[in-house]
Amino acid sequence: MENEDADRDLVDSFRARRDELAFRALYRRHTPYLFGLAKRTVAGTSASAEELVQETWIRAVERVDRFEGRSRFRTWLSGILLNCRREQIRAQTRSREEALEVDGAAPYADPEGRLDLESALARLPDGYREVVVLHYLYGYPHHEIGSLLGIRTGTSKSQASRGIQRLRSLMKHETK
Amino acid sequence: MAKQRDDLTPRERMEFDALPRELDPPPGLEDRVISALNRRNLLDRPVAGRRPSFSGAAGLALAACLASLIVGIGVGRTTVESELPRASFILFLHEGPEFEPFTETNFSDRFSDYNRWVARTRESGHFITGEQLDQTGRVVVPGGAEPSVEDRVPSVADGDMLGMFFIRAQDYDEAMTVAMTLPHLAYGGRVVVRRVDPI
Repeated sequence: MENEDADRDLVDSFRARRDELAFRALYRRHTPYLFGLAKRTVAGTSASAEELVQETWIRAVERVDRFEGRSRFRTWLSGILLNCRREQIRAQTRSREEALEVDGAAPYADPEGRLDLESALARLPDGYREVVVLHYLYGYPHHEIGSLLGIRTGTSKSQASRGIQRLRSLMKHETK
Repeated sequence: MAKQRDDLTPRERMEFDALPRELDPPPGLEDRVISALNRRNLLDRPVAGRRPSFSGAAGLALAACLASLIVGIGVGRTTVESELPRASFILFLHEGPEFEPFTETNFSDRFSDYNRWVARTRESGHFITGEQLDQTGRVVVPGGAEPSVEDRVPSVADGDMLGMFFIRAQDYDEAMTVAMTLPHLAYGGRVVVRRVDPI
């Protein structure tokens, strides 16, 4: 709660002044989280994660007057980041359905046999990876993931379930 | 935020828990974002004569800056676009024999002094950026056919350097005027001013 109050103060301060110092305070507070999420979501180069974070902040500043405080500021930022990511995917001429399509995903073949979790996450198809990262790593419940990604709660659950199965096969872990 | 991860094995849960949620963004991203926002006129530009407030959000920014320090001097990285093309200078901050060392009790006050100087200098359009130095170093020693490189931090004999500020000034006279206002001098430190050679 204390964190949410601090967020509200910072957002109000930035809205009132729109100055660089107030923005830097917001940036430094939330960017490590956004950058972590971006890296896991894109599972690509550092450069693309940087672009994603930069675009997220630009849109957040453009729309900050519309932030009503109904969700945590960090959740609101995460939603913007995930929207930006979907636009990236669309720009790469990949539809949302294609991204979620399991059978169409590139086949996995690791000569070493086993991957660590971070590497295995990076190998997941986009649709699975988003849900798995949001749910299992960042702890978002499925109904919030549904809101963030514009999918149904049930879809989030099923993607998470299939995603974790795919992850296990990538990591060659024993299941419980 | 509830963590409903009962479908994970204990080992899987442990591996997820071991992954850091937050990652350090690349250096320079903050300034690139600020530049992008400025290009779109989404931030108010610094206005001459307006004093930045160090309460509220700015205070938190300063606190974040303070928290990032290990030792020595650190300043928030800020770029101010100058109206006129100017030369760039670096103010090297050395300890010198008369320097009063940082202590746990004077650290916060001392640091605030430096940050107020940064704010004033930014306001006047002189300030470009500032960096602290870490505990590693390389010393290039001349001699023989070619200089040798020693993997060490400079010694007292080299003249310890604590950090530096990048400023804009028309010439050495203006740079020296700015340098003479550094609080570092009041604490017995030495300042070396060098003009940056434009490449």
